[in-house]
Amino acid sequence: MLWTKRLFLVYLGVFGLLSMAALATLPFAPARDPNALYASYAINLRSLDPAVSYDVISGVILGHTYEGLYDYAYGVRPAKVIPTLATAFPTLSDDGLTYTIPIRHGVHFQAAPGEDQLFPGPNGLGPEVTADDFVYSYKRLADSRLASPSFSAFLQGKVVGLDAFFDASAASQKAGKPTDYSLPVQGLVALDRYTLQIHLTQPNPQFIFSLASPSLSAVCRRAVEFYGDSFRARPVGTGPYCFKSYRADYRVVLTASPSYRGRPDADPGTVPADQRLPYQPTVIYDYFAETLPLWHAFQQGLYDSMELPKEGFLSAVDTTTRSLRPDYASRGMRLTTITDPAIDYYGFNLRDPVLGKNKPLRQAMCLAWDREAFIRKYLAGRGMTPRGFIPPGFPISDLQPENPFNHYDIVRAKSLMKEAELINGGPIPPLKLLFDGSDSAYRQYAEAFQSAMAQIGVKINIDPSTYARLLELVDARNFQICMTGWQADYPDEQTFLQMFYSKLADPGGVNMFGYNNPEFDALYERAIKLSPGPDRNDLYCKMVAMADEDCPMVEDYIRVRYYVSRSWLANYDFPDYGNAHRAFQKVDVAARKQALQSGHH
Amino acid sequence: MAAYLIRRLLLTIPTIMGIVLITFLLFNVIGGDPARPFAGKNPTPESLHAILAKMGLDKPRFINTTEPLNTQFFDLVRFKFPHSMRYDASFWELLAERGPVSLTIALPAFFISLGLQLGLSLISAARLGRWPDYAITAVCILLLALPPVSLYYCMQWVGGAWLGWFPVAGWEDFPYSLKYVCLPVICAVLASLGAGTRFYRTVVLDEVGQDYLRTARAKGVSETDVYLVHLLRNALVPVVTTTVTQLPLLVLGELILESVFQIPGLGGLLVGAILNNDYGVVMPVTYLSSISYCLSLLATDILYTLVDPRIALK
Repeated sequence: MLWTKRLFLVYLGVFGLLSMAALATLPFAPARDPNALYASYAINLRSLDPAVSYDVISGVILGHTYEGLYDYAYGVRPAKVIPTLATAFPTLSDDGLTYTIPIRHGVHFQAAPGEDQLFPGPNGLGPEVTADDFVYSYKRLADSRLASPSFSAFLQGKVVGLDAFFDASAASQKAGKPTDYSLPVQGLVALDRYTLQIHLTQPNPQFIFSLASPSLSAVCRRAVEFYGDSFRARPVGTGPYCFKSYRADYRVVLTASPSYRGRPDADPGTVPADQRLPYQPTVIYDYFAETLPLWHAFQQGLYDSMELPKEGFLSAVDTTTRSLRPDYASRGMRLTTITDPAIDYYGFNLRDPVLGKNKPLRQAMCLAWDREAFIRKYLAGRGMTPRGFIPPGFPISDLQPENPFNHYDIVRAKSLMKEAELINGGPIPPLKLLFDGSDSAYRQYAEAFQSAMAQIGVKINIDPSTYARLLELVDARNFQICMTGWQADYPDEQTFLQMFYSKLADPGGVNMFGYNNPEFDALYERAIKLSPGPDRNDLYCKMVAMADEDCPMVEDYIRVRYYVSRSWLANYDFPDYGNAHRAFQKVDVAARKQALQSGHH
Repeated sequence: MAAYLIRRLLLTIPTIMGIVLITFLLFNVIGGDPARPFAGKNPTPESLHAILAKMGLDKPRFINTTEPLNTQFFDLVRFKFPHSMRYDASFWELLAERGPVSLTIALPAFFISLGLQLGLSLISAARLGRWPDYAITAVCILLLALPPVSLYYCMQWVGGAWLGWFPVAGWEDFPYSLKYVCLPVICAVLASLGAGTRFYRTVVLDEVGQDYLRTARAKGVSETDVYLVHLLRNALVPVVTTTVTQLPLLVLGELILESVFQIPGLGGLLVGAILNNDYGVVMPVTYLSSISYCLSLLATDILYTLVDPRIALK
């Protein structure tokens, strides 16, 4: 028998054995934890180090373990900040530059599961959280070695002396030396063990929101030094859960922290046992990059909640009433609708010689865009036409004047085009639309915009780009129109209004449009010094009206997200801001077991 | 043989250098600033530079007068790749963690698929113009016409959601991984079955009419041995060409398949890296796969001599 025949027979044997082995394992499955809350996440967690992670999903998952000075109250809308590791709101100096913050007593860093050497004490508990931990944690954000995106977002240029610390750490890095954390930062002072003082470079009423960001959580210096590079996968915080295990793009398992004080805004030992958070001893987050398989698994009862994907939306939701269809509701599913605190838009570069000088052209383009048709055809109805660029959920969302150019009016658009051509001295030349071409959906959106603008005689050349190049071109202001969006960083309209402040229009600044209106700037500078209230709301509304009239963008849509959860999951919500929300959710374990056994789910 | 190998190795060096240069230029010229996607909303030049430093890209691209070898280009030559900012890890760490998972899917899928393709092509050729040939051809054309992603989603719905025979998606470590491997492997096999079987059928049909088979039959060799012993060996040259070049790429996994089935392997990693501009993953994968392809071509040449002694390397 020659070797080809032998090989063929061996192959058949191995194939048969492997097939039998695989078939034999089919009836067996790893045991599911009956007490766990099963959830999912769709974006990879870049790091479990709060200084390095930056996106919303990482913040939500990390927020179960880490805590900062402040957080947002769970399930409260509009969002409300509450003290967590601080015991009260900051005391501000008269000039608004100095924040004095009292720190909660008796909160300890949690024991790290499976690691005896980190905190070698009788109960494995870490040291008590003190003001020095916050000084250290904020300095870490400014350590150039970590390249923290949160530094530029929250602290750079805002805290006295912290930029100098960043420069010193960059110099140490260049010289191959470790960062010297003993270098003092004038604006970060531990007055005593339980009092932190922060000195700002200029008044900033929104700074409280920075302090509520999960990136500004307290990290344990001993844990950072003990774990070294692997600290990014070994979180040690003070929150309701500890990280039991983590594998990138696969699974995160959180277990209830025995040392947690029971409530985010309570002192240790003050919460009665039956009211203590978290409710579930374990939370298991599975990674699903694709939504369709997760939707199948959710329908099999394997997950307790998820965001309803586009593929399941039309079958599960009655689009006229925006409620679950009866066959889904009868299987114990519930629908939660959340409007994103974000807006998608087509931004104009006002430095462009064609677009910048031609307000009627921009207004015509706004009027030629049929948002309702777009939302119906391309988003399966999962969006809403913006009233203005402040999305719902903010104090002035309903007070802001309705944008007069946010509705489809092709007749008026064509009439404005005549004016636009006069200003331009002839027909409008083709304009280039820059967008992130990595997603085929964005290409469809760009083509829809192209067709809409063709109706008024504006030729749009679409320019798909990588995301990195898109950001680079926008930062350099090297574009004409860009399809992009803006997500609120905190629950204050200022997060949107800053997009039009001329002093943030330099390359890299958030005013990508190059919008420059001295009247707007004057109102902005007045408003940012005011506390929330009717006076500030009036100023904000005036600013919105000014920007609407000048049309620096075609306001596109506001995304509406639909979340489905099981009836056995109590207190379910998906807040826009805030951390540790799974700690508040409670699974009726018996009801889940019964539903899964009966097959009615 | 030795002279041939040395000559081929020497020829491979400029090819690989070309790959290094093209990869480097592609990523540096059209890729955009690799730090920007990871810099958040309000980046400053300093924060962008800090990210570049973390990635190991804060050094000159080609020429460094003080330390000539300390350039981005020479880092690439020495397989010192940029740090992945999306995972805050080095590419080698990611490869070590995810490569074995990808192989758990890709290796069985590859070998099952190869065996089935060869087996079906032999049956098809042996029954040329009869119903088994027509049936196999029809199935192959159907599978060829079906986009792999549609096939994956259909199989996921039928096998996982509807019949409940397999997990819809996901992963567990050994021994449960066998359970999670089944459906993705079946999908991968089906996705490659059509093209492979059609190709090997053509190869086998080229051999069917040869004199040596008629002689074998005349000598009383059984029909099974005619195909498995005589024909198969002579048909192996194109098989070697197609399989050996694919083998090194198996570690990269099945790009879309891994994403659809939530397999934490390199395929899904690469898809995510492409969509998220993770320079520290896309660049090494492009670079390493090109180099492995070059080296596997060299291995193919050597294997020819083993499979068919008539081929001499000169």
